[in-house]
Amino acid sequence: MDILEQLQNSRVKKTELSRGELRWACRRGMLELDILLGDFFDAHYDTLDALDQKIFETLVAMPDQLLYEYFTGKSSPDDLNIARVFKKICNAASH
Amino acid sequence: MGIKNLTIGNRMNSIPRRRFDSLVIGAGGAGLRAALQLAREDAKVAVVSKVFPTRSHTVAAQGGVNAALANVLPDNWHWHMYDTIKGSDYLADQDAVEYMCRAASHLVYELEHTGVPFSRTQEGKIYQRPFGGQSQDFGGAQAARTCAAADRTGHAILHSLYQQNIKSQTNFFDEYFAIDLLKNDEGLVLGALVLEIETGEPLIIESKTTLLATGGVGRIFRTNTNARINTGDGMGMALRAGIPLQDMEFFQFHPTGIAGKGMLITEGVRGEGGYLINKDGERFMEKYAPNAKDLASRDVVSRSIYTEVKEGRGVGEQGNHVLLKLDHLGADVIKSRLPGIRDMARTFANVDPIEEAIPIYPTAHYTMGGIPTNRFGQVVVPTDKAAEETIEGLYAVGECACVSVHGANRLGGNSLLDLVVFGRAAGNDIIKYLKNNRNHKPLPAQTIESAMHRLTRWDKKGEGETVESLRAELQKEMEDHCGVFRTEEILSEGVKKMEAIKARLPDVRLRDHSRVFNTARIEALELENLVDVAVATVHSAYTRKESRGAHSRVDYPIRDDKNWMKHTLFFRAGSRIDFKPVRLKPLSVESFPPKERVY
Repeated sequence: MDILEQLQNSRVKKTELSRGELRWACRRGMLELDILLGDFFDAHYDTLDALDQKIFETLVAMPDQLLYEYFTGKSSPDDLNIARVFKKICNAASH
Repeated sequence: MGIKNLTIGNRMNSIPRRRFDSLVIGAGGAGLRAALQLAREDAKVAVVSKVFPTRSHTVAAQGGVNAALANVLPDNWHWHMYDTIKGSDYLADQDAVEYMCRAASHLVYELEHTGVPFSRTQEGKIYQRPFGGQSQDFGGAQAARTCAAADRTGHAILHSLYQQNIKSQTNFFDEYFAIDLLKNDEGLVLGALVLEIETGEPLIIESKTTLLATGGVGRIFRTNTNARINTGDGMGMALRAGIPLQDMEFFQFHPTGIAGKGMLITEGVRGEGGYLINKDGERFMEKYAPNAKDLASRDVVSRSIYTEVKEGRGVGEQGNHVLLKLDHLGADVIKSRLPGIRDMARTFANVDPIEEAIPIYPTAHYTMGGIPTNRFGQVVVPTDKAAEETIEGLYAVGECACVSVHGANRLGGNSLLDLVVFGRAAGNDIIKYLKNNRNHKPLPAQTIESAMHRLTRWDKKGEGETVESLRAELQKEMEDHCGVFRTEEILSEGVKKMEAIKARLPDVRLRDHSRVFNTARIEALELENLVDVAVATVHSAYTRKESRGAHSRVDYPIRDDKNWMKHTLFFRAGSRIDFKPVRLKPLSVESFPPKERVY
């Protein structure tokens, strides 16, 4: 099941995170991820469409080490939508 | 009991309560290792963590964990002990260091058995890499002592410990914020008041023992490498409970952090030929260290950067940083040897080092000081009778504690070791304590009331300063007045500024008073901790009139063993300073007497 199908699954809707919960979930074990996720959430989350907001929620649920490997290019997300939103997050940090 | 007390009692009785044998606050490597020891012995353990446990800062420790396994080069624990004491600039307590270095091999093998995927030698043994400050035969050839799981050792240890705790039925309170310790009139610690972040509701956790494992406090400085969670919450709680903080003047800085962001640009970049320049393009390290230049020791490079900025040669609109130039190395070298640094610079500094220099400023990294403990993890304070007496029922472990194995300067690879060795030791001591103390003691309403006040104070409405603005000011003043460049004049100014910031804290107001997942409220509570710990740090730095390890005083450049071979203790009440002797006597071997440090 790809991320689009997963997000259309009703189970995902039931576990929808509140805004505050999502903001707190951007508190990570590494400074790099704090800045990538936390600053992106504060500045850009509200401008994302519904799909990308869901993908952002999926990203923050991932382990720190995996996100850090995405950032350093040691690995990349299999799902193209996750890869696209993660790139958007990195690009936002550099501007 | 008077009417007033009855009212307080009734009000406090309405707060929900849970009871456990032991409460652990903080779910990084130290807290989880202690909890595991307890849960394995069937103690009923609660672990409170403000973030999901595997998002603790231990995950960022990439280097590895030291143990004299002698898998790659000859080694033994006694050489490790010597290196640790020498690295500490002789301020470490030698009994604790001996205990740690002796226990290291056992703890690393235990981690291996619980699933930490250490890198291997060709023969299948745990691979060990050489790190700075490690020697064979008491200062001889380079040793190879650091065991690593590739570059994700902290992550592997944290996840392994978390899984083991789940298996052992540890009770996790994820996304709960600890407000304050609860005590009775005799000073026994009987648990803590915590806040469920999701609902905004308080919860009393009664426990026979409480262990603080809340990590370091890099967030008191503007530029730092620490995750945003590192706000010194356990240290703040200890200070408010009347417990001093020890050796807070010792804070490890790296000279090259990305300006304004904090993440580390490794020394390897300068090793490859990168060098620092000021706004005039001058390679300024040539005048401060004509021989070593950009490869001079960390404190020299850090102070040189500070001086350039202070004297108006900083770069940028505010002239508040310098530049690390790499473009002369050529695109091929940067792409092949420094790809990670290039990614880091492009993302966080918006510069491609192939074309532009990276904005740089010294960055705060590791807190050597903390809550004073002995080698059993018991919190100890001076009394009229003795230099060290235990606070019954209270323990501290890891970066929030000062046991003290790092003294004035921590060696690479010793921080993860500290977590697991003393996490286990504290767990063992707590088990003994629980055997002799089987019942919960009555919890006075007054201690709950006082902890609740800390929470309800943020319900005040009206105009006032914001948490963000006071925090930014605190971080900037700490960087300018208690950072890498320390003199009597700068530090005394710093003391005044931090006391003034503390005095403004009651005027700070929240704009959002909602309950459910109100992260602004949590940040306000964190700010109170930052303020208390920053005040402790600047007072301690002002007091110590010598240079030792990471505490470098330009006006007192020499280590002064005659007057300063002692630990600093800062008490919150009256911002009082006291001292206690360094434990120079190891457990079983000869003491290492102070010598000049030469590497």
